[in-house]
Amino acid sequence: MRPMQLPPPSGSGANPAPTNNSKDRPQRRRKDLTLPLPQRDTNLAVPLPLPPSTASAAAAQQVIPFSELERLNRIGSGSGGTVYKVVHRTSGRVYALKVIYGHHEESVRRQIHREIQILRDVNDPNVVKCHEMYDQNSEIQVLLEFMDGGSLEGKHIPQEQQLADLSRQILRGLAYLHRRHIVHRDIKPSNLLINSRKQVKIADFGVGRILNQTMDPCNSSVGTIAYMSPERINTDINDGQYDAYAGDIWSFGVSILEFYMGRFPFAVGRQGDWASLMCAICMSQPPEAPPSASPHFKDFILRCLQRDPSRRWSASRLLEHPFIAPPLPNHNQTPPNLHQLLPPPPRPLPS
Amino acid sequence: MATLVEPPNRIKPKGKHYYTIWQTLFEIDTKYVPIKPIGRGAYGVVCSSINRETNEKVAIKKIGNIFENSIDALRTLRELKLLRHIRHENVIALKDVMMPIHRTSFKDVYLVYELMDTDLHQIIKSSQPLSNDHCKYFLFQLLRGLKYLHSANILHRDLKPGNLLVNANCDLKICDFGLARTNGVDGQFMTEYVVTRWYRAPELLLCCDNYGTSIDVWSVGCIFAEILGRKPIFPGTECLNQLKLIISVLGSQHESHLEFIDNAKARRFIKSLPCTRGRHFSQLYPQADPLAIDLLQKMLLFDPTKRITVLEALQHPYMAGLYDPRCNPPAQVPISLDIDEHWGEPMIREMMWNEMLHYHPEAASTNA
Repeated sequence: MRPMQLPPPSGSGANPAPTNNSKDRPQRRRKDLTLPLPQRDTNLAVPLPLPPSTASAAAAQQVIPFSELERLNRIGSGSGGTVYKVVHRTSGRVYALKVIYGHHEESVRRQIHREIQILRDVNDPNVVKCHEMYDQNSEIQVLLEFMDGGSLEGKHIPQEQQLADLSRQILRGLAYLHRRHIVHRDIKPSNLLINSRKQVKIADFGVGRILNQTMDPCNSSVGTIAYMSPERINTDINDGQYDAYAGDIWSFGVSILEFYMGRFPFAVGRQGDWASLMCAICMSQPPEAPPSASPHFKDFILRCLQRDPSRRWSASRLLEHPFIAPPLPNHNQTPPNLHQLLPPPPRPLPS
Repeated sequence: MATLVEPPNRIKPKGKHYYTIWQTLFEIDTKYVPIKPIGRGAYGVVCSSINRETNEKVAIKKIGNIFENSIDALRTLRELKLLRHIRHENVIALKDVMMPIHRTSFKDVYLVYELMDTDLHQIIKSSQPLSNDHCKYFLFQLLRGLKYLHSANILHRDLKPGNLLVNANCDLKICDFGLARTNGVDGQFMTEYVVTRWYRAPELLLCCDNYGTSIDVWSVGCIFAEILGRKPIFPGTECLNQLKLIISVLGSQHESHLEFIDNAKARRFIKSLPCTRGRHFSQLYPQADPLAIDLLQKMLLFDPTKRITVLEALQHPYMAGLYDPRCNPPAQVPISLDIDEHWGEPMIREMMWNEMLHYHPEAASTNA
């Protein structure tokens, strides 16, 4: 329905009321100003849950009804959502259910739906699987693979062999996403999850990007820019050119260096205020691996943390870096005390 | 679209009946009869209803599973506390808060507001023409409501078009007080909650520790510009981009206007931005009344100490004929909020119950 054209109100300035009536003017103004108003979403149809994707149907994947999920406990809160551990009653399988905070415009909801539809087609051993999406009580909820080891935030991994295996898994996940033209935009330790089988998977992508378009955490320095690439924080760098895939590589490099050093690798802590972080990331030299690191690891970090994004290596190229060497041959047996910590041998890449 | 349904477990508590609205179960007092869903408010579904005792139309907002997220719970508690005290024609009235059946285990909260037709965001993005008198009257009401709030020592902190409800006769009311706080109280930010960046004042973007009523004035300036231009004036994509957009319009700031920035690194960053003369608001809004341009310029000053106050804005020539100080008394007493952001569920629950008792004193003797 097209709103009617508004006739000019009779109270316009052309006929100012006498001064002695100023006390009554607000009342008169109110009467004169009427407006056929656009209704507040009254015709909004409730979006239907998305049908299973073709890939899911082809895989004969069973649809998991929301009513068969039992909430166990809250795992945590992330960007724009709360995550719960849930069990599927009929199968006994455990999942993570992410409830996305409400209060979104319809256009944002449609974006989220579209984004989740893309995520449901993502299928890689190093990316957290998105199984289902629900629209329950006006809340969008996403059923995700449960990672019982939690996130890698705060982990200190000084052994390079372990770090190489970890890096390999994350890079495989990133290479897969980038081949599918998906940019994560929020790679950081808290979005890297591990399970009891020592598999590492990338989590929390897609929806976070939409929610970050206009929203900020109240304390905007916490988590917002600590892992962001310089050209993303300050678009004047690099003459405004922006390669989103290279932005993910920077974030990956900062995360890996943090695991090795056991602390956020910049001079200022990652909880530092926004301006200090911005100065450290954009106006200083990129951080380097400490002198105690091997030449391979130093070079690996160097390839990730180039200030110029065009000089950063891609995920697939980094997988060929000498630091990401295959596991040692059998005749050089790994020390026994490290063996249990190693992830299983890498799965062959799909041809 | 509101469907009367049987109560869960088929046990009907006295004084309640049940409706399904957009797949959401509403357990409401029997004096309210839902009409239709009108949208998704903050953290819940909102439906229009009629109060059969008074034949008055209201908006009922259900906030479900409120304690699952302590931020949501604190936000609701803050709104309950504030709105109980506020009585002003330009601030949304909270008319009722329904008593839950079980004091110690309730999960949902039902808030009853006066019903408004739409919000300013919908108006701005519609094709409805707005005359200068419309712009002026909307701004006047917003400033008048804000003057009342500031006189009660309340900062809103999240003013934006979607939080300004409007009726067909152009009455405007400020809503959503979940982020509001009293001025001067030492408060840490709620790190999990998100607010719209586009209306945030420079002193907030630059992480200044001390800020006051001027942050709301900046938001009003952004809203006023959006009414004039029918699109956001500073649609920043990140904090830094937000600041750059602001500087690109206001122009590079003289050093004397940056003294409010207590963070040396942030101040250095602002100075490092490319030099620009900015763009005058009359170029951005060539059709606007020159007095409106003048007022807008005074609202959107980078330095909060030089920004116009709400009272000064009401006294500005653009508001001539609308503002009469005799008709706009201040709030009776400053309102204080005793909310600790570290409270757990039991304390928040108890405080909520106490707020509900103000609307239902007859329930005080119940030990449900």
